[in-house]
Amino acid sequence: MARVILSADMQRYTDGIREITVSAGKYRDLVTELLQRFPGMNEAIVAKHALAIDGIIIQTPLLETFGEDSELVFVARIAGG
Amino acid sequence: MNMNVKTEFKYVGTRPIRPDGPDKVTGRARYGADLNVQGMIYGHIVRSPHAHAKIKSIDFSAACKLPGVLATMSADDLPEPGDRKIPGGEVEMALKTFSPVVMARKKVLYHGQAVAAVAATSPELAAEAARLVKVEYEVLPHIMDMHAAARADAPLLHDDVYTQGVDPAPTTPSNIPTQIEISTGDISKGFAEADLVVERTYFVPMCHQGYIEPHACVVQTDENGKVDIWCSTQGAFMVRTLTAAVTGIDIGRFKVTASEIGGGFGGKTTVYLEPVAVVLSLKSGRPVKMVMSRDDVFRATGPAAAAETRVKIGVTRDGRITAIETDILMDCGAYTSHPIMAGVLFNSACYRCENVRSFGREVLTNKPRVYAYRAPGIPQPVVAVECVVNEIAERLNMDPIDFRLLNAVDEGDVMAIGIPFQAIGLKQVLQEAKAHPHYTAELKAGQGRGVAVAFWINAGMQSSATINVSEDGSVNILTGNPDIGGSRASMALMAAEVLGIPVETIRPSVVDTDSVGFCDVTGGSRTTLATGGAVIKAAETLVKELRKRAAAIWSLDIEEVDWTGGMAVAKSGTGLENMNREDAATRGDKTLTLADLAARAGATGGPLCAVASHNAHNAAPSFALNICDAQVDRETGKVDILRYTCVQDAGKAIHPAYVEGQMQGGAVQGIGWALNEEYIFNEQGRLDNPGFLDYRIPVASDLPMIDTVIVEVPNPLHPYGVRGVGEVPIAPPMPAVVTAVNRAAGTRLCHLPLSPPKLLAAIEAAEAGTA
Amino acid sequence: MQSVRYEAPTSLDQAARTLLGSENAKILAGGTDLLVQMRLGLKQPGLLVDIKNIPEIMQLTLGDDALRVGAAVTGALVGEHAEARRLFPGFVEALGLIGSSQIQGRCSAGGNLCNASPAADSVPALIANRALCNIIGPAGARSVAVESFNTGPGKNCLAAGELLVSIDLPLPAHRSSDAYLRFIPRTEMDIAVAGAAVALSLDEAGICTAARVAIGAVAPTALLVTAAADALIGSALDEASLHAAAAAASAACSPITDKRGTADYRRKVVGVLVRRAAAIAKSRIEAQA
Repeated sequence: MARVILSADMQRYTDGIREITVSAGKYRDLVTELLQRFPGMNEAIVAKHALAIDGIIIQTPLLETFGEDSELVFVARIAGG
Repeated sequence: MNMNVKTEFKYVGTRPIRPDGPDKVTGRARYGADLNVQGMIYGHIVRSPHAHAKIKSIDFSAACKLPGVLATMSADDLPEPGDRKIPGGEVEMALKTFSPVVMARKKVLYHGQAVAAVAATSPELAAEAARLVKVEYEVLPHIMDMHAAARADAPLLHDDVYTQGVDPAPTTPSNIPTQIEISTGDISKGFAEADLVVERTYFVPMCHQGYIEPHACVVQTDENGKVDIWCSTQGAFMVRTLTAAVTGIDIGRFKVTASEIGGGFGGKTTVYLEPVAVVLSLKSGRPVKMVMSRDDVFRATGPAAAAETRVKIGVTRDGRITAIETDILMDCGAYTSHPIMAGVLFNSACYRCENVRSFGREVLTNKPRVYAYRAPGIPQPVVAVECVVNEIAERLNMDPIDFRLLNAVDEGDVMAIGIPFQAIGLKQVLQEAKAHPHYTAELKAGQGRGVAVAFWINAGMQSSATINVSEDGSVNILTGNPDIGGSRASMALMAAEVLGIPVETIRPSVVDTDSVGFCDVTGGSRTTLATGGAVIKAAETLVKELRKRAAAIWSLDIEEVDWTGGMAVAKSGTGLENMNREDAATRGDKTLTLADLAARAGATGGPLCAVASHNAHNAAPSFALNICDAQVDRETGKVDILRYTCVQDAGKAIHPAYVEGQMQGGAVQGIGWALNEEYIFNEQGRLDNPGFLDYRIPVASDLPMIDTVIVEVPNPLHPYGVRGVGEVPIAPPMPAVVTAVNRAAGTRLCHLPLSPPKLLAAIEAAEAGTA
Repeated sequence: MQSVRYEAPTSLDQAARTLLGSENAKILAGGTDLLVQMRLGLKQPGLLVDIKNIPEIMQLTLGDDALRVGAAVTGALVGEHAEARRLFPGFVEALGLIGSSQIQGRCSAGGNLCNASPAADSVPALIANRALCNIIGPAGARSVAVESFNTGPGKNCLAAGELLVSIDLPLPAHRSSDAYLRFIPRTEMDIAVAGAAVALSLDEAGICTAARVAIGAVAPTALLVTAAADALIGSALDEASLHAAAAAASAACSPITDKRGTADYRRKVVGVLVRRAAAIAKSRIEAQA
């Protein structure tokens, strides 16, 4: 079960829950699992985020996979200059 | 996921002269305003004289009567933005937050905003025609102060902006587009555990990137619908995307060529003139040139946000940080952008702390819409955090670097947002600084020293590269990233490293959007890492192809052919790195150089070329530290910067001189922001200092030589260990300078810039207080 | 669209006639102010009268009584004149502060004066040195004390058809010198927030026998502050008299608050500059052989 840390923005739709575990091994399944678990959340909210997989921030995680012990962090996208 | 990071280099890490250097110092280099084409006419923008007004009507009739006026335009010539979102490099942008910056729609929200444009056969005629355009306004009350704008009863800039990030979702609009809070641990517990708590509020003014080259473009359109754009930009592909979005013209019709660029620093990551020139060209059937004046650049392009940051930090007696709380109010000008995100997420990322609460709000005011400026959103709150850290170290009687070493994050530590750090160089940076002779140099009376550190996340994003080999074995590298900080030299060095050929035989070019695969902007400290990564990948593909060709010539299997020292070697002689041909020949090895293979390319499968593209997911953060010595004239409040040292983790410095250039440039810009740079608005909401006379960036004689120390803790995710270097240098200077000045003057001035009148008043107040 | 005519007379007579015959003429010397003002749309002359082909206007001559600086003699030329530097170090350094090296090749004391900016660097130094302005016009030639030349921001005493030809700086007495200091937040390429020029004469015992103090950027025009000079004359330029001169200068000024500084700040700083400039002028005299 991968560990997921939700962003501050996402926590507004999870009754303040910051950390969950998921059975998904792919980003797409992760999104499905999140939406099932937190009906208040929607795809657009998830899509506003980058996903850090084991410390590596991925801006476009659509095709990403991860392991059972992975640590996943949803983080707001940041623009540089 | 860690990969094999190369640590021994032949070309990477050397300092060849940049390929674009001679053109730039002799004046041959062509910048945005340097292109002239047959039949060209000139566009001129009509700008708002009001800081806030409704546009009631625009009458072009008088302007059109002038002979030589060939086209006019307004927002009516552009599609309604609606709620369309445009994919930006790193974040999506709502079209309605930047289309009206190109051309105002129904309302103007800041003085100098574009409301209409004309094109005529000479610049003077175009300016005269612009004066004749009659715009009828209904003036509205303008709001310049961010605190006033944040109040519930403030006049609204937009009636469709509702604060995001608030529960329940607000039902009335406001001037606060975004609110964000992150927290970890238990902030009250953290403060309860503290033996010392320091709380301060710092203000940082709105400032401009101050790039020397004003925005400029030439647009040519033809009867087939093709749109050619030449312009000064940080990203030709970005210009294509955004101009297509603003004008409603299909992306496929555009070709964008980036000129040489005279600075950007984040300020050229959007479009201002290009969509206007496209419309004027289509309407007139003529090529259109547009060049901003310096006045236009200051009034109507995107500065960096002003911010007020309250920071509260708790520590134990022995110097361990127990809690960090920050509250940021950021003035983002007239339209939503999101520098607040980085400010809230990363303002104290240098420190290991279990209890963090960081809160921020963006506020809209009648000022130009802010855009990126090196590490956008970070320098403003970092001033507050670092100055308080210095104050705490002083009150604990601890050395400020020792205090930071005790609390510095390291590999495995987890950021407040939950992401663990991979290998990072903060501790090494702190140790290098402590060992530097500057840090222990004696100070005289009336002088002060400040240190500060900062973190920046850095970006990866999408890049492509093409490598073509000529018949003589010389190599062309094509990328789509405008070269701002010496990236062509870095691309050549990385290709030389893979190909094993002298860097001088490689010609790197920045080409147009028709000639190479997509590249995100030169920004986010990403080009050396991501576009360089594409160059490395393409070069590796080319090496594989070269081995295949040599194997075919020798009737060997590819596995029996090595590539070393710039040539294919039959495998009997493996084991020698970078061997030369004579050595190989004396050993009886068969060799084929790149030139040999290039000459026989036609016979072995055709031209030698390689293409690579990727979305780089391997960016890694960088840390920077500055040491500043300052002296204050107690009778005038004038500050002299006496000595300045920058230490920064570059991962691997591909071209050390250009890494040093980034460090020095960031330091100079940060010193300017700390001491004198600020947007000054008058009662009418008009910018009062729209020129370099009164918008005081430092001049060379204001500064000592900026010393640099490059630390190299390789990025474990990049084949050469590269980290971004371009943005983090703007973050530590302000707190380093502010601390040094306050120490020298015996003051605690928290309101930047520390301009002489303000500093003198603070000195007098401090003297009165002690008297 | 407005067009601009350009004339380049080669004699003072011709210049005067050209000026009289035109409604909206502007004199073009180095152009370092005028061209910028035109580009910003602040001035829209119909005729530019370039005076740089007139011999009298381009000459720098050291006479028996005075150093005569032609109205368009460039800052760079004055800066290279060894005698000018020796006799009027404060004036030369004030003129040398205008703009960059490139600007120094065009700007002039005459232009700096005629442009009538309250913040002009060379004007306080000219006032401290009792400079006289030589003017020619339809009514003939006249001379005006430099402190009376400017009448307000952007305004001078030249009547229609009149032209500044040269500026005379009377040669200083034995044991005299001058100094100019300005305050800017940067080190160069800036406009004075406040400026002060002091010219002094000392007797053999080091007592001040004559003094002129002028301040800039703190009133509608550069001011001659006799009260500050009086505080110095008769003293050994000790701390007390220097502070008294500073206080007199602060009292005499009437600064404004703008983006370059507050009135209060300017008032304080101008006094500091007077005190420091007087000390420099004194040390220059003491360094004389």
